[in-house]
Amino acid sequence: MKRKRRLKLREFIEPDLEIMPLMNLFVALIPMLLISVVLVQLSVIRMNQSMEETDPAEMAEDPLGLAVFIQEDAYRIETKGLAVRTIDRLEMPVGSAADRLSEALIQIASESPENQNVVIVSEPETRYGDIVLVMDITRDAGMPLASLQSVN
Amino acid sequence: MVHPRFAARKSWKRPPQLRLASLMDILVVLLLFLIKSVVVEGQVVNPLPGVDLPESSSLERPEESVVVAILQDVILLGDQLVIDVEDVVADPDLLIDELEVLLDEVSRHSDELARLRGDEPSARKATIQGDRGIEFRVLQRVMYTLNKSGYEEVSLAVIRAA
Repeated sequence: MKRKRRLKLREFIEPDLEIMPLMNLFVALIPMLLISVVLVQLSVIRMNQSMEETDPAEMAEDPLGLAVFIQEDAYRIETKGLAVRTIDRLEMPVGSAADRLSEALIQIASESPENQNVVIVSEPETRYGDIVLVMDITRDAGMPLASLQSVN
Repeated sequence: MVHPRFAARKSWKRPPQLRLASLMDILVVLLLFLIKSVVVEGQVVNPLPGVDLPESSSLERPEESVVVAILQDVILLGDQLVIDVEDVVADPDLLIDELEVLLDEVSRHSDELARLRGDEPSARKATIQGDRGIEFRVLQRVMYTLNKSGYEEVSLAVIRAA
């Protein structure tokens, strides 16, 4: 009687390349890196008319002729070439000059609701960030059609 | 390693398996991130590196247009260097000749493409990505040059304030 030799078969298996822990690490790291990324949304401000170096009051076709001058130490609001209001930028707490400018423009807009044009006059050294701030203020005051001018 | 006794018989060696489950998880996360990114009309719009855009409350979405970047030291048209800011400021003329030449070239190309497609030349649009610290005199010259080159619709790129 033949002895059946029971062979204990062992399955010889090639070891797999275990990259799963590494992949799991990436799965954990990548979302953390993405969360730390600062997401920004771009918007645009559409310009009203082309740039020319002329007197702001002459460029404005509306009878109000509203112009906001950005000076180093003050904001000056003019209508029809006449100074209406001057707001000091230096002696104010940060941000309050912008609030005062907004209040003044809102008041002017309420007196002339049909007017949507404003000319923002800047000095050559005026920072671009300050110009954008004033454009925001005029837009929020109800005058979205802003154009840029250079002071003569 | 296969036992010699069984080498000639059925192979007991199980081929190594590449497990893709974690890789697919990574791809899904990346895909979700790209979907949540800023997408404007099917086009991803990103601020150019080196440009610190000012914040604004404007909600208008950017459109496909020629992009002029004004950094603190250079002016770029797309990713091409145009001129140094120092040279722009030193020139009393409002027109930036180097920028005008490149804009005309871009306009010719776009008009030619429109002609080949059988379309009418579209209105020329430009977007200015300006660093918040640049001076108005530089912005003025760039805008003047754009207008003289026929770019009637000029927009200023800003970061939407939260």
